[in-house]
Amino acid sequence: MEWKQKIFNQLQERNRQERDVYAEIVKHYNRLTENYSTILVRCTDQERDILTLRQENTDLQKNSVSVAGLPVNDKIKTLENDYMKAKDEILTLLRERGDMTKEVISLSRLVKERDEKLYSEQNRNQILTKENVSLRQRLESAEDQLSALKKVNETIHDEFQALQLAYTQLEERQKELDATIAVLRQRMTEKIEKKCNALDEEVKLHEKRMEEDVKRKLEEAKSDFMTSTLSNLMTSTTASITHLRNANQDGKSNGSVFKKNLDDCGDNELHAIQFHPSGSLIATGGSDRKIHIWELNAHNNQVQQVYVLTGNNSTVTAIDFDNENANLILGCSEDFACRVWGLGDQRLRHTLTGHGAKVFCAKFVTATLIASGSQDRTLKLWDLQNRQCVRTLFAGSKCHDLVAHDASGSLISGHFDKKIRFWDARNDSTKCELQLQAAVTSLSINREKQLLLACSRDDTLKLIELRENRVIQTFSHDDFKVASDTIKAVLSPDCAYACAGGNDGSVFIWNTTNGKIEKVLNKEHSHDDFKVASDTIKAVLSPDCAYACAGGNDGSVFIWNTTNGKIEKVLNKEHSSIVNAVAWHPEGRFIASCEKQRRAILWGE
Amino acid sequence: MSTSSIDDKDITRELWQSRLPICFILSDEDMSKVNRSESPEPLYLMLSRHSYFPCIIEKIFRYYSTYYKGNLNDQTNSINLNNLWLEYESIPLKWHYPIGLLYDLYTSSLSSSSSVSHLPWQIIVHLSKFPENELIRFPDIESIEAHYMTTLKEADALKHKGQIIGDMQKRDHKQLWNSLLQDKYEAFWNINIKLMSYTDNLQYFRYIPFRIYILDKPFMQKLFSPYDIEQNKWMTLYDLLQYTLNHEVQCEKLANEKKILNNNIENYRVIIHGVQPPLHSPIQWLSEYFSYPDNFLHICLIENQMR
Repeated sequence: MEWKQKIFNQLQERNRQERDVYAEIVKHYNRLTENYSTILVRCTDQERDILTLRQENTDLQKNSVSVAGLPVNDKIKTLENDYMKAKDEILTLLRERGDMTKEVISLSRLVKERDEKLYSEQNRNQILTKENVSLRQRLESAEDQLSALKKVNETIHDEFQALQLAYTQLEERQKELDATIAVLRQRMTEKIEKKCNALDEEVKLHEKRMEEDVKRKLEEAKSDFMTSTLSNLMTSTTASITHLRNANQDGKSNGSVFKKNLDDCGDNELHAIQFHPSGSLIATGGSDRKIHIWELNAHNNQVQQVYVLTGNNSTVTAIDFDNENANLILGCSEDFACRVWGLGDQRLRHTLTGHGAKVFCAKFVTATLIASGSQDRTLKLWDLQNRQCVRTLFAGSKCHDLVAHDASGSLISGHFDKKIRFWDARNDSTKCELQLQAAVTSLSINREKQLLLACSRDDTLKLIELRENRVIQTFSHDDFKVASDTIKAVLSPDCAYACAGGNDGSVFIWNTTNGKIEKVLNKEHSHDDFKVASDTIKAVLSPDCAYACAGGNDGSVFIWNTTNGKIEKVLNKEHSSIVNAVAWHPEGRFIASCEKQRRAILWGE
Repeated sequence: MSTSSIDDKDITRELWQSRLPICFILSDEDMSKVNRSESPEPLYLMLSRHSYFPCIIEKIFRYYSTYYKGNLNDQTNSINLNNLWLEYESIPLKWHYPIGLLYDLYTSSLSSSSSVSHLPWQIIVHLSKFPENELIRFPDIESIEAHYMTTLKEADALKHKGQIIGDMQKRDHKQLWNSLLQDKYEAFWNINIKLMSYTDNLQYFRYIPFRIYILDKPFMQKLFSPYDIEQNKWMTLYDLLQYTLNHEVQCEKLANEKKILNNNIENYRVIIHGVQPPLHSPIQWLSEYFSYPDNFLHICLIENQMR
């Protein structure tokens, strides 16, 4: 294959000639041209820069030509001057800047202060607006209330006017009615007077007959005894016996009742009523602060107000007559004092002050010794000759009632703290104390001073034997309930019976010997009508224990027959309100009852 | 003879590494229109023989356009890429010839001395006055690529009735052209080796793709089989030339041409790729390994000058 070799050799030769010889040269040549072109570019740029610089140069030269007149030194000097001036300007400007910053600081501070003030003002303003809003709201509500109230007022006013008209009309009617009542009353009094006169005449006739009988008998007796000195006594005892007999006879035979109205006993409630031991005087005391004395004329059964004892500053709670001489009257009142008047001269003799609270009860121990018990938990003994408090007994509890044991000043008192205290006359201590189950409301002692009846709040009455100071009997009943702290229970004068009023309107009578309930006076009228109304209701037995009497709250006085327990009489239609107290005439002929509405009525049998 | 262990690959590699130093000089009239103070220097490039001028025309124009910065926007001026044409010794160079072929054809014939003194090959660049009568305008790359592909298909049609080129995918065609542009020997011969295979149970190509160039004459292309079946021998280069020249003379005589071609091979120098291969080289081998990248044998016949 030498042709191949030939070809190959030729190729190699060719390549050598054509390529190898020129390759390097062409490469380097190309590089050179590239460099040359870049250099050209740079050169052109630089030429451009040179041109611009030359231009600037020429410009500067032109500028400097104008200044070129001055020599160089002067130029320097001017430059220096300019420089100094510039420096000075700079300094001044800096100083000014310092001042300005100071001003800025101060102003900013001011601004801050103002802002704070403004802020506080705004806060205050907010608060005030809030208050304003709230006040406005209140105002609105107040106005609403006011308008409502005005409306109400108007309606009330209208109603008032209407009522006023009605009232005037009623007043007129009342006046008319009063007039008619007065007229009727006058007629009635006339008729009653006529009747009384008639009765009086009958009685007088009867008395005359009785006198003639007595005279006959006396003459017979006279013929027996032949004494003339007794005649006077006889007459007086006769008078009393006559009274008694008359009373008995009157009471048994004469069923009719006469009454006397003790009008104008006081302004309001009557709390105490008491007979004079002689039986001719009645004393009443009430919330009008006066004690009225009424004289009972036994012969013609007239009652007149004799006089009025004043001096109390408050309601009279209890009255007592002295038993010995019968010319002193004792009244104790809620003005913390007791007063003694003389009956003959109606003069206030003594005022016994010293208690710290209402005086509930007072009793004559002797004619010169008075015992009083009050709400201030003390008992005081007063000596009337010295006019001072002799002794003060500290009881420790309100004294509701007391009785005088003997003339030396020993007392028995019943208290709120369930105790009955026996006081010794010589010293201030309690001789004895009896404990009961409940508060003691009242004490009642019999004439022989042996038995004590205590009424207590546990709805029982206790009979205490005073020699041994112990409870011998207890009276109770299922229906008997004690209404208040001052309910009074009474022993009958012969101590056969004990009587008290209960709060359901019945009067209970117990037998003291066997302790059993003797009678409960609640049949017929009493259950519905008889009501023990308040704490000063008193129930009393008649001195001969034939009758029990109590006042009810509807103004009626109820009299029960103790033997059969039935209502004997109901004395009503005279009192218009609650009957507070009832008292029997010692001889038993009359009943006095006082009511809450200033009226006392004397009833005769 | 020395047992040459020369591989065919060596030869193809040598062929591939061919370079020609070319010097591009701006024409005088265009030089006068230069817009810069400096006149452009000549451009020297080492170009491969099997490349085409349109591949580097962009480069040439870019180089010279810097000197015409201001003039390019002027519409009246004819300086633009479309007007660029190359000339060698007043011959406008055809675009579609490989550079090696042009060089061999024009430099060898025009000078009596050896081709060595012609290097670097000086080509004049014209930027105006495009010779419309003599040249076709297709300066851009895509047109020369199309021309290359056409030539390749024609070669394969001659060799294998176009079977192989038809079976190849488009990317293989692209790879051929791109490796030609980027001077990638391995990539090119990976595909090209397929085109050098045989079909139809033949040990040779059906016909040899070749063109014979004689100056001032259009190229000659005949159907020529590399193997004589009757005589049972491989055809050589001499046979091919002889056949072609004789056939051409006959065609001229029939056409009553005045000037008849000299069909004496002795009067010619046979140049392929710038070398004169021995005339007894087998034409089959030459076609396989000595073709241009477009698979054609471009043979230049240079008349021997009367020494």
